[in-house]
Amino acid sequence: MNDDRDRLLRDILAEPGEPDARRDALLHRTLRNVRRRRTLLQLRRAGSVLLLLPAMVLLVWWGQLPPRPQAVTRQLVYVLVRTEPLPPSALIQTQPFGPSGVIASAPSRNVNRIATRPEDRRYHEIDDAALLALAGTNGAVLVRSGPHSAELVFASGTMTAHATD
Amino acid sequence: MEAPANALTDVPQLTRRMRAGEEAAYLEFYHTYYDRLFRYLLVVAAGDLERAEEALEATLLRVVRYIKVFPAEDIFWNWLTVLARSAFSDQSRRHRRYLAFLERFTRHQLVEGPGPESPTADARLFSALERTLAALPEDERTLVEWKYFAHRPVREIAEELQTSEKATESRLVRIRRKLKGALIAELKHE
Repeated sequence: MNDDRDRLLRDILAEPGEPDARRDALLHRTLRNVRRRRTLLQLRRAGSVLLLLPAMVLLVWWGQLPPRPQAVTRQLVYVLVRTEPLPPSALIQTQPFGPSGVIASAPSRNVNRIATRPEDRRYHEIDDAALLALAGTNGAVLVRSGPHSAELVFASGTMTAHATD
Repeated sequence: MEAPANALTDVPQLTRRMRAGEEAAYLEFYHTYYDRLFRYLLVVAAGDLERAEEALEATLLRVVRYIKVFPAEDIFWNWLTVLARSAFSDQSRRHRRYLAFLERFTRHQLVEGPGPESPTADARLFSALERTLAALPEDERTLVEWKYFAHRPVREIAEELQTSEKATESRLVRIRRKLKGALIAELKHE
């Protein structure tokens, strides 16, 4: 029923002679507007690209420029070292000892000092002849038991002297 | 309440294609919404056919210019009615420029106000149609009923009336013209 009334209403409201002429004309104009709008949007997009292109070329050109000489020199001359304070946990602190921690020393008069002298010789060496001469008339015999040891034997037999070199 | 004529239209897809500038989508939109929009504007214009037609053209121009993707049919239709009211208001302002101040006030009321709801507008139109049909002489009303409600071919009606097909068609044209005049007069006087 609604469709029937729709159809009747459409026919009533249409132009008497050419029912679809008005519709077709308006459709034609609408589609023309659609095409115009689409072209406008395409042109706008193309315009955006055309605006972006020089900017991108400029950026690329800028990126390919050789670096400034000053910048190179700076890099070669020094290496930048950054310092920063140590944390408190990494610090070692010192402080003076108290009076109880100090030991003082002083020269004392109760200590005797003993000194030795290596070249203080109070004897002198004698040879075999001097030794025999010491025996005098008692008669003595020097018995050599080794290259560096000898025994002086007196003839009376009561005295014997033993000597080693 | 009348079901929308375009209940099966996939509005998100349709509006997405329209936004992309696809002509086929505009054709689909046009065939789906032309009659509905025109009737709506006819009610808004209180039966002024010429102004309704002008407003419809301006509305379609705005659709092309401002189309966006809509998630649902009812939101899309609401947007279309706002465009239609706004277009009609602008047309009215041009027609009555000498009453600019008054027109601005009217425009504010037309665009910012709720405007006639689509079911209300359709109901007004169909009830006016019913009244004009009822006011027709018996023989004319019967002819309309055979043609539009009984779906009888013109040739068969002509045979029944013992006249020619051409004469029957001419008579139907005259009855439709009469109905149109009465319908518009109804809307103007509502």
